[in-house]
Amino acid sequence: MIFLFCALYPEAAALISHYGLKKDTAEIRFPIFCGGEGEICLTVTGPGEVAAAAAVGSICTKNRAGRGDLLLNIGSCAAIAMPAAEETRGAAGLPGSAFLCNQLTEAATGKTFYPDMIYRHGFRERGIVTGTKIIDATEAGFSTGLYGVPDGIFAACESDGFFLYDMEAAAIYQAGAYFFGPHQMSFLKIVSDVQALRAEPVPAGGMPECAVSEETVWADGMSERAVRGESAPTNPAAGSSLIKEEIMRIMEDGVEELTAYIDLLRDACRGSDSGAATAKEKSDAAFAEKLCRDLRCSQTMRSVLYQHLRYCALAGIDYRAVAAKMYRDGRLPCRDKREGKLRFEELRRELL
Amino acid sequence: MRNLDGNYYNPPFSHIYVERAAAEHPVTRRILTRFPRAEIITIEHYKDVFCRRGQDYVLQHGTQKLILAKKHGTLLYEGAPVCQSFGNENFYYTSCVMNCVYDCEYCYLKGMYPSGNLVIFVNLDDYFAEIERRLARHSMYLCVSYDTDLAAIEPIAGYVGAWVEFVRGQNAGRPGRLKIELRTKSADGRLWQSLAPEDGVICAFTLSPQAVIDACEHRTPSLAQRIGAAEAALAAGFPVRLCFDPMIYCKDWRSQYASMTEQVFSRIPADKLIDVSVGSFRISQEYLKKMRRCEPGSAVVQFPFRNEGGFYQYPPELMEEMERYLAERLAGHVARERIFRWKA
Repeated sequence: MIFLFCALYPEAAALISHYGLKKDTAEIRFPIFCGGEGEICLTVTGPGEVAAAAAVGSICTKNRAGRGDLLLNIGSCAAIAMPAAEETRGAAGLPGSAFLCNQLTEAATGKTFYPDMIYRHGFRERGIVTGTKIIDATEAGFSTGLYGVPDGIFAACESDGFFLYDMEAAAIYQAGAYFFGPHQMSFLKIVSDVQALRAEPVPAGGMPECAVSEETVWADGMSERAVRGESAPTNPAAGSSLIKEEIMRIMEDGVEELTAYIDLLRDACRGSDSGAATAKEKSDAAFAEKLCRDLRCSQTMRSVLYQHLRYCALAGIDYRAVAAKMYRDGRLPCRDKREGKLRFEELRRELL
Repeated sequence: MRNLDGNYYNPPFSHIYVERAAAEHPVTRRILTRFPRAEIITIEHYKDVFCRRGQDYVLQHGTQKLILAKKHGTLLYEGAPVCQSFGNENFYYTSCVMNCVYDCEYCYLKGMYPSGNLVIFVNLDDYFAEIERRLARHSMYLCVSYDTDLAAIEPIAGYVGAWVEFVRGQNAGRPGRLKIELRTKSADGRLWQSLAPEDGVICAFTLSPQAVIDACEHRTPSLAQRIGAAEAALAAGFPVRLCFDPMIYCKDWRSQYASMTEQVFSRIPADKLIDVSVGSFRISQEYLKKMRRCEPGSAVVQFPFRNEGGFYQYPPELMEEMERYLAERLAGHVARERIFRWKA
């Protein structure tokens, strides 16, 4: 199963449509859409770290997520561009670009998380900063910790002058880590808007400060109604609103790229060990149980016997034939535990 | 989109994690030039990536990433009880690289490390400085390629050449002060021929029957290739050790190990070897527990070993039979005093 988490309905709409996902009306706390041959479960979490973490915890617990499953966070994000004109120019073409995030920094704590970059993909890669609040243009300062963004982000910007910012990714990773390993989690973000930072005076002994320009337009931090896809996002600090249709449009434009990656993950998921027992494994387990009973095994003997049988199965040793001979010879089943110990040692010798 | 046909996974070293403190180190810069297309990710500490919870060693190893870092704290360790000292005093080992590019199912690294990614510590000079401090007090026998295979990554790290020159410098005018063992399964004979020989550097080649290599030493050179590399090291003038360790049980182990012995000594002049080692597979219980969990389909780690004092090994009678058998075969070629068997 692939567990998809989107903060907002407009981020999820194109995926729901592409895979023909159906709303699960039994789930009342979060909008959930399932389908894709029963292999996709998409949850709209609502914006922000708490909502996202709560949704991941709830849905993954309910569906017993774990080995053989994958978590994918898909959504929009902002690109924060450094003030230098040259760098900002490079960031101008970012809206609509999809990024696979290779490090997730939680602004509030400065902690960074690293999902494994296991699967081939065609996206650009970037780190992303997850903040708890919408950056407000009226608040000055950036590197001094107002937004908790570590100084290292500036270094990360040096290559092409921007970094990504959202309000869920790091929280989804942390909540997901209760169910998944880092190789099972991916974070895909499409840039919905670019923030140009304006330089501020350098404080004594500090990093150059920047603040978000007044053209700021935020993709995340939508209202509750926006989560339901009912209205435009509301950000009192924004100079203009990015309406839900705009997010839907960029997601629709990117849906081919996104679903190609989801399909790749789905194929990989199918090929992985889900932990479910095959018919042969069930038959082998039944045989092992019978053998344990007939050998009058203690718990310790039972564990040792299982290990022998596991090895024999892998090494191509026909343990059923060895046991069958013992049954034919009348050495099995055993009358009591004393005889069981003798036959147990005989079986071990004959198996190896 | 691109790259979505065929293989699902990124190629090895598609991503390189670089500690911020190591970013400007010359070794880091040199290594990065070898991977111009890699995605470089800056990290604060290698453990932020290497020691994450819930990693899948086997999956990661199949699409291995590289981590470049600086090692702090303890740089030298006393030789572990499961390792052979070959009669040397002051036996130490060191890990300037963690993990290996080869994929041997039985490898203890799978049980020891939380991650399958490869870590190269770029501050090799700090290791050298620490060794010099110890050498001021006593001579040393140091194994430098236990937790990795340095020769296999020589084109990337260049550490074999660095170690050889370091040992040469330490032993100049004071021969025998520092002896190191470079254990490898690499078959790059040109490496040894490109280096000036040094008596203090023992090239130790791990050899296994081809059937064992095929079954569980994935991505390693064949037996014939490894023998070729040992020949090259001998021809270059390096001391050479052959390690028949770990011996791996299989139904026809006698014929497999007998055939391997004949193949080896049909090409290697036994009198030129400094010694050979024999040891059957043994491993700490904690490591095996993890390996069995992450390699459920591997016969070699699922063998029903016996637990002797916290270490899993083959049943005593089988272990004795296997090791004695091989030691006897080797004795037909190598003087008995140069055959070392591991003793608990």
